[in-house]
Order: sequence, then structure tokens, then C-alpha cells
Amino acid sequence: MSTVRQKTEEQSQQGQEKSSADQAGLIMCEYERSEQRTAESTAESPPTLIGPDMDSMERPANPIHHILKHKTTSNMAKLQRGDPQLKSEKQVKFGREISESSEDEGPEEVAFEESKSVALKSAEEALRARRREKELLKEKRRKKQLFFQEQKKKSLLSEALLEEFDTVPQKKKKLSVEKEESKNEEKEENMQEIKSQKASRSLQGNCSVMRVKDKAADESLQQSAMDFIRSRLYGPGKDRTTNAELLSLEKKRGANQGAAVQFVNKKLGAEQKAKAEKCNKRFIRKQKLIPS
Amino acid sequence: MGEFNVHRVRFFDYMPSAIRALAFQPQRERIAVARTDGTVEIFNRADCFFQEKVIPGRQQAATEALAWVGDRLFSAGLNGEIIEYDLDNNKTKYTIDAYGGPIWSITSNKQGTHLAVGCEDGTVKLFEVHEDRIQFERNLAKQKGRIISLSWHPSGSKIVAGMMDVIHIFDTETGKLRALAFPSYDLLGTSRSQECVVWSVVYLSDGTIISGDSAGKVKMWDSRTGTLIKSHQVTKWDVLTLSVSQDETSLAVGTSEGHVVQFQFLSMVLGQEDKEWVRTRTFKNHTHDVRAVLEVNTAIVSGGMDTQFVVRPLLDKIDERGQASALRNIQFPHRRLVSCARKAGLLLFQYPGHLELWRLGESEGNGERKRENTTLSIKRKRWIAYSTVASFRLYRLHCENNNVSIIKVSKLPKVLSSANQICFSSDSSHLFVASTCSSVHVAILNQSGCKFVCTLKPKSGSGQAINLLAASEDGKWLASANSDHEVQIYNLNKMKPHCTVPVHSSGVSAMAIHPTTNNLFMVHADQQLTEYSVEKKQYTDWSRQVQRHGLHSLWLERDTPVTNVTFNPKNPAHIVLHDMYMFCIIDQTLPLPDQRSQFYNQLTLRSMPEKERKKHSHAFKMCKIFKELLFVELMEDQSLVVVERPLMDITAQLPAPVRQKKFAT
Repeated sequence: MSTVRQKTEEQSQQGQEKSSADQAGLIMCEYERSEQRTAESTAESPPTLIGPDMDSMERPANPIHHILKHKTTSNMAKLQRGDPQLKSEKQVKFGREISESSEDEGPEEVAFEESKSVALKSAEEALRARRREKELLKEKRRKKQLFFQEQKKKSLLSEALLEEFDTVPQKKKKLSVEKEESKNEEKEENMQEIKSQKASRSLQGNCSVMRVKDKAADESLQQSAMDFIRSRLYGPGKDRTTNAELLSLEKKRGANQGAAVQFVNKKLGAEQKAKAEKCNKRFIRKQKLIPS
Repeated sequence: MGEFNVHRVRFFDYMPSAIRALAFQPQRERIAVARTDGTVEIFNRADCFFQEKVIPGRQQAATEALAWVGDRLFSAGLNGEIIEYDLDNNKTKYTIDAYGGPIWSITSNKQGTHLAVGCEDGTVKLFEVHEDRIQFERNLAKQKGRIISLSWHPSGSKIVAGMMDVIHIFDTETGKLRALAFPSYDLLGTSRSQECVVWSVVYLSDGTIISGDSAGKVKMWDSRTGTLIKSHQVTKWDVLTLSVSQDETSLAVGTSEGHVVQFQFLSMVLGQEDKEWVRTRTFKNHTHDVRAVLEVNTAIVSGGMDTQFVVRPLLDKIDERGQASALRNIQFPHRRLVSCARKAGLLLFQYPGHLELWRLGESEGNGERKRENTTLSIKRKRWIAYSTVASFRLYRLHCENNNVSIIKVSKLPKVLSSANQICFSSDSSHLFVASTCSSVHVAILNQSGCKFVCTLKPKSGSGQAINLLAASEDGKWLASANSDHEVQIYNLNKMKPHCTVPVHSSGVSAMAIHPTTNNLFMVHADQQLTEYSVEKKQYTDWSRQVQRHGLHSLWLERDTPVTNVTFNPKNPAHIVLHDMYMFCIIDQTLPLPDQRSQFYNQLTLRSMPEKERKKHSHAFKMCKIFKELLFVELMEDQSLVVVERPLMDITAQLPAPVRQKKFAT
């Protein structure tokens, strides 16, 4: 085998020494033949798959033939890419083929069944992969569902406790029916509070007992309304500055111009001065400017 | 004139509270102002915007809006209650819970029959106004979201409510509604991160709805078709408040920047009929957010977080120069907050929640803290009395060399409940307490306690509350001034009314009885000075001369009223008075200044030689060295006490203003 290879290489080298015009002409006719072969080969099998084929297995192992076949398939790929070296090599090979593979039936073909099986296998693999993925997802979802259910159970009280004080909230409901519906939220809060109070009695934790009357539910609404105004006027998105800055700007552009108020008025600038002092101390300590 | 030792007092940390709402009553020309600490003040527009009444309130009330129904004043706050005020007695009449959560706005219809209240739970509640109370009528359709602002159509048939990102129009009879939605995308197509809050809406009689929102836009909508007519970008920050004039041709817009912008309903081309709302003027009189604005035909009144009450006259509507055409900026209250004991050298400061007692000469202070809101406090050498909304307290004061101790006097007469004004007699033997219907209770003070003597009632039988009380030095006379501009003088020996001073068109801002001549010296809100002789029951000659001669124009053009009048014990012809920016000593022996003469002539007189001074000096000796005065008093030892409150200290403690980028800063 190696000797044959060496021969082909020598001949290829020889072939390269020929004139370019002759090379071109030879290349042209060889290329036509190779085109036919490529057409046949692509029709029968995907060019990328170079696997053990049935034909070569059936036929007697003709080393030269085998090698030549491999080379042709790889050469087909290279031809399609337009490999310059290949073209010169090809002259020799095709010449060889014509002379040596005349006993063959025809161009090498990848059998239909072979390619069909390959295609089927790939399709099956894809199906299997999809099924696996689906199952994985199902598993994940099931786990999440379980987790959420357990969480919910934890947040609610146990059923026994609920039965215990089922009678008490009914009384409270009668009293609060007289008030308007808009106090529903507070009622629920009250009931929850009662529940939590009852729970605390039996739970004995770090819970303190508080009367519902003491906590004015109205205050929380008022507080939330005031927070709403505050966040809208002074909240994060709003461009606000300090009064010291306002006064300093007035001083800068006013009739009697002077320094910024932080430097003139001791009280206003006290915070910044304290910060500056701290910074200075830290710097001095870090830089070890004062030998200690 | 003489030299005085001056005690310059700057430790009275008086902090005014921000203005939250304004409401105008056109019939009586009164403006009601609601502040964030719950107080409601009434200013009289016809009387140079004099602060006639102050109704104390609680901070928990969190007043959000005011509404006048005829002569009655209602307010609503975030604690969910509607309060009606008793304006005759300067207190709240009653409170009603609206049961809707925090109330954001209150408005009355033009006919004066109903009140509409916008609540946190999304309902607009209608209340019927009866003679002595209001009664809940019904809810309009409940919406999702809070109702921030309300406005009634002049016909009374429709209400427009501004909420978050949407405006709803309700029909008051059927309750049906129509929605005007705000786009959730701005012009560039990017969706807005925060919802747009419609802070204020106004419903005009031709069906136009004007809304101001937190994106800084003033939008004009057509309510019949439900479409946006025009949108004006007024500011980068929020548009907080709107107010339209009575004839609906002018709109005032208050912004978070402190600017007040005016829109006018004009035609773009002169002479043509088609009119539209055009932005005309911008007023930059505030430094912080403007939370309430009023368009009062000839002026724009605004108030906000910088606690100043600013009146900006619209000069195209005023014909002549006078009190009406002046820009006014009311910062301090028009009454005394400091009380002084002249012989002992003690000062009593009145804060909203407590009183502070200070001794002059040293920097010692003795503070007492009370839980309730104090309405008034006064002190004499040995007694301190103060009154809150609910109670009246009297204390005996003992000052030894350096120790000050206070002992409460219990068992006060039941008649002495909350009082508007308190006055002690000069020898601390009697206590005069003003009460309802302009009457005064008299009580005797002695070692054992306080004993009620009698009640002095005025002849006229006016129902208004008393603003000022003044007692004479010899203990014979008592003068009282009430909100009806009536001044009544009582004879204390007989405990009967003595006489009534002729009614002046302007209210009295400060008065005092002269120690020796027993002349009642009064300063009015329009800066007029009058002197009335109590014994002779007529105006004095000096007073007539002043009226004939007329006061100098610079004196009349001052925009803050005089809040305190005292006398010089060593020189009976001297009268010491002060307002926010100056203090003045009037010498009754010197001639009155001419219109052409120099009014502020103290510096020039000082530079002249002695002989020339007499030719040029006149009766009014003004001093403008001390600014932002709260109180000036002449003590027994001829030293002057000056209580100042620099405005910069007040500004430094206000909430944060917006960041305005100015050129070259």
C-alpha cells in the first residue's frame, strides 16, 4: 500500500512539472468526469458521511481499489472546494482508475439501504432526544408543584387550630357589618389578628398580645396616603436639592454676593464639616503622615 | 432720642408650617388658608389681607382641601374626617367621618346645596348641606384607584374626578360616567415608568375640563366628545394645583418648581372670535413647591411649602396705584407670639405645642412642654396663663435669683374654658379672659387662687370673637377689639361698658392704653394711626391732626401690619411700635412729616450738627437695623428687647426644593 502511495505521489509530482496549459486541458476533461462522479455520489449518499459501506465489505478487499475509493470521496469534497493541488493529483488518479478499476461495475455508489438506515437512525435519535427533554420538563414541573403546595401548607395554620376558633370570628362579623364595605380590609386584618392572637396563645412564641381596639386601622391608611404623597413629590425619581444649595445659589447670583451658606452659617455646614474632618483623619492615619 | 441697650434675641425658633389649601369666599372677600399643622387662617382681602382669625387644629387632621358653602367653611383631611368650623368663635364646630378612608379633595356646588368628597377607596361621596349639619346622601359609582381631585360643573349636574392616569366624569343624578384616559406612552413611544397622577381638575361651564398632572402638563379636554384639545408642557416637575377665575377667562397653575403660570382665554388673532387658552405670564415668587393657588379676579394668591402667603396683583386689572397693587408676601402671623414681663425681664415664647420661658441678661431657659395646641399665652410678673383648645391653665411663677419655679393653680372657675385672648391687669390682681360673643370674663387673682367676678358684655351684642385686649395701668379701663372692627371700652370700677370707639373701616392690628394720659392708641391694618381719649370719649387732638395731615406715603406703603405698641415710661410722648421690617418711635411733640420730606431721616440727622437737627426732625423715628422682627419691647431699665427670626433660618429647615439649573452656576 505504501509503495502505491509513494508512486502516486511521485507521479503527482511529475504531473505538476508539466506545462500549465496541458495541465489545464487535462484538468478540464478530468473535471468533467469528476463532475459526473460527484453527481452520482451526492445522489446516493451524503458526501460528509464516509462510513463503512456495504459495497466494499461485499467485494474482495482490493487494497488499491479501497484506497482509491477513499481518495475519490475525499477528493470529491476537495474538488467541490476547488482545491488546486487536487486537480493535479486527480489527473494521475483518474488515469489510474481508468486503467486499474476497469473491472468494476461503475462508479462507486453508496447503497440506498445504507443511507436509509443512517437517516432513520438519526430520525429516531432525534425523537428519543425530544422525548427525554419532555420528560425532564415534566419532572421539573412536578417538583415545583409539590414545593409550592408544601409552602402553602406552611403559611396556613393547621386545620385543628382553624376549627378551634371558628366560633369567635362570627361574633366579630356581626359588629362590623354595620360599618361600610370599604372597611373590609380592616375586618380581614382584624380577623387575622384574632387568629394570630389565638395562635400565639397556643404557639407560645415571641408573640405579644394586643387588643384590636388599640390599633387604629385608620391610621395605617392615613400613613399610606401620606407616604404616597411623599414618594410622588420627594421620591426616588424626583430631582431635588438641598436648602443650603438653594440659599447658596441665591447668594452667588443675588445683589449682595457672598460665599455659600455652608461656610457662613456654622449650623448649616456642620454636617459637611464633620464628614470632612473624619475623612482627613482617616487619610492621615492611612498615609501615616503623623508618626505615632 | 437717646441710646438704648439692645437685647437681641434670636433663639425663638419659630417655624411656620406649609400652606396646603386655599379657598376664596367672594361674598365676604375672605380667603381661608389651611396649613399642614391643621390650623386654618382667614385673611380679609378687602382689609389689606389682614389675618383676621386663626383657628388652631391638630396635626393629625392632615388637612388636604377646603371648601366654602356660603358663609360656612368645611375642610377635609387624610384622617377621613370632614370638619366644619365655627368662624364666630374661632374653633371647630363638629367633625364627621366620611367612612371612605383618607379624603383627598372636597368641593361644593355653585348652588350651595351639596358637598362632594373624593376618597381613597375610589368613591365620590355626596353630602347634603343642611342648616346646622351635613348629611350623607349617596355614593357615586365606585372606581378602582384613589380619587385625587374633584371639580363640579357650574350647573351642578356633573362632577369630574381626577385619578391616577385617568379622568372620570360623573353625572350627579344618574351616577353614570365617562372616562378620559391618559396615554400610557409618551411622544417618543416609550412607556412611562410611573403612573400619571392628576393632581387637579377644573370643570368649566362650556364643557372644557382642564387638568394638571404629575408629568408637568396642563391638558384641555372636551367633555362632550371625550377628546384632548390641547396639551401644554408647563414644567419638568409636577403641576400641583389649578384655579380658574370666576368669569373663566384666566387660569392660574401652581407647579412644584415654585412658579405660578397664568393661562388666559384669548383669541390668537386680534378681533377674531375663536378663543383658546394661551399661556401668558409666569410668576416666580416662591422657592419651594406651590401647593395651592387662587385666582381672585384682580390678583393671584399662592401658597406652598415655603410657608409664605403671596399675593400677586394682576396689574392689567388694576387702575390706580395703591394697597391693591402691591405684591404682598405674608410670612409671620399678624399677632403677637411673644409675651414679656417688663420689670422681671422675662420672655414667654409661644410655640404650637409648648411654651418657653426665658430670662434676659443670661441665657438660661426654662421650657415647659404641653401636649395640646396652645392658642394663647400671656404672662405678668407673677403669673402665667395659657389656654389651649380644650382647657385653660393658670400658673404662679416664683423667680428667685437664679431659680424659676412654676406652681399650677388648681380649681379655676368653670367659666374660664378655652380663650382667644388673655390679659392681666398691670398690678397682677385681675385676669381678663375673652370668651364667646365678644364678652370678657373678669377674675380676681390672689394668694389662694383665682375667683370669678363677673362677665363684661358689649352693648352691640356682636357674636364675633375678640382679637385684642388691652388694660390700663391704673386698672380702671379695659379695651377689647373684635373681628367686626369694633372696639369696646369697659369701666372696671363699675364693671360696665363705658363707650365704643367709632368703627374704622380697617381692623385693629395692635392697641395699647397709655399709662398716664389713658389714651387708647390703635394701629389699624391699613397702617392708620388713631388715638382715642377714654375719659373724654373722643379722639385726641393729635389723632385729628394726623388724620388731617395724612400720613407719609412711605408709612402707608408698608406691607406688614404693626403687631405691638408700647410706651416709654420715662417719656410720655413716646410710642414704640414695630412691624416685621422696622421698629419706630413716634414722638408726639414733634411735627408730622410732610409728603415731600425725607421719611427715613435718622442717619441724615445724625450727620447734622445739633442746631440743624431740630429743624429737620419729625415725629416718626424709624430704625431698620433689625430685620424680621417678631417682637420689640422697651423694658423698665430703658433697654430694648428685639426678638428676631431670620428668614434664612426658616428656609434652612424647610423640605427639599427642586433642583433648578440656572445659567452660570
